[in-house]
Amino acid sequence: MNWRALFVGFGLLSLLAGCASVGKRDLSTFYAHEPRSIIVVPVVNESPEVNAPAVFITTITVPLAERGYYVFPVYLTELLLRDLGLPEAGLVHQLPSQRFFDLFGADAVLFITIKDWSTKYLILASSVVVEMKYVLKDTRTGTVLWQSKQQVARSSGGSNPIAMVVSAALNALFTDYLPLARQANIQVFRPPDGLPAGRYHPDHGKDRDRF
Amino acid sequence: MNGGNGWWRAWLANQYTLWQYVCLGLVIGAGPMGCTPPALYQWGEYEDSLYRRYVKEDIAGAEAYLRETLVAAELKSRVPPGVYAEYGFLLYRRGDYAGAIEKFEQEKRAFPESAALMSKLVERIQQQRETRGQTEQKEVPGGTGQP
Repeated sequence: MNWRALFVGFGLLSLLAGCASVGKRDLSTFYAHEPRSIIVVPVVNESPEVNAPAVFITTITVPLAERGYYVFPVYLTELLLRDLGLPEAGLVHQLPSQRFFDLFGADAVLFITIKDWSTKYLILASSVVVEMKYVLKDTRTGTVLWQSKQQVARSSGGSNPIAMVVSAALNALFTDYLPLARQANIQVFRPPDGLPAGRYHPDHGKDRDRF
Repeated sequence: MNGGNGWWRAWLANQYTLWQYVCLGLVIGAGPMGCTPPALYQWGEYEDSLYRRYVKEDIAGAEAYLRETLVAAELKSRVPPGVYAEYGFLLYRRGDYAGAIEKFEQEKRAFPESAALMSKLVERIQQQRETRGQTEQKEVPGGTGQP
């Protein structure tokens, strides 16, 4: 069985799905602090889609925890913050990072901003795009440990003009952004641009050459 | 009759390789699903439970999925981070304070990173228990603090 070929095929598929990532790769500060636990606070939404944060937040825990970090339960986090008088993601993002250590005991806080969450129409095709900015800060010092941007786009287009018009109209009603958000979150934490493996991952401490 | 025996053996061997091919075919067919590295945790219905809560605003469904996730994960492998805590919070909301404390303690044992928050929650529930009857149940243990 040629696993390598499978992986290559998989890689090509992801490329076809249209993913791009841009990020800064200076992990020396990250290694200096080596967070074990990460709290994901409510996301700021810069897209016009009101539902985007609710859909997005359901897809963040699994890929981050699977990188080996303790991820604070997102729903409980949101309720506790609301109880502290912080119902707005915008306000939470302005808090000094130290507060997340005092309140939750988290080593690092992940601020995510949704930059784009839309369906764009070309002449006879449509393209669904999600794009997020991720900033991870140390809670004791407020230093940025890692940041990245991730975009995932999927286009649908075809040769039959009538079918395309119909499907574009249907897509506008029932666009499912969930798989795209999930894919973005899986990709953004992976090497070489992602987060080094955390304490609970078998690669922890052994993957420095991959970043 | 050695020759007959040999024929059978050859036939069996052929069958064996045939099955090998069938199995190989199955594995290749399942390749796109199966070639991800093994997961650290048994996530079960966790994402579905969040989706129910956040997007569909179906609290009962969210709770059912969360309970299924916890039960399945406890049986099969490691319970993912946050699942004990979320379930404990669910119990707290139903007024099962003892159950809630037990789950928060389990989260703490499974993930020491959660210790500070879990201890805080347990402490607040205990305080609330002592004053139960005098105060209304709050949405979050402990009530108001400053951001």
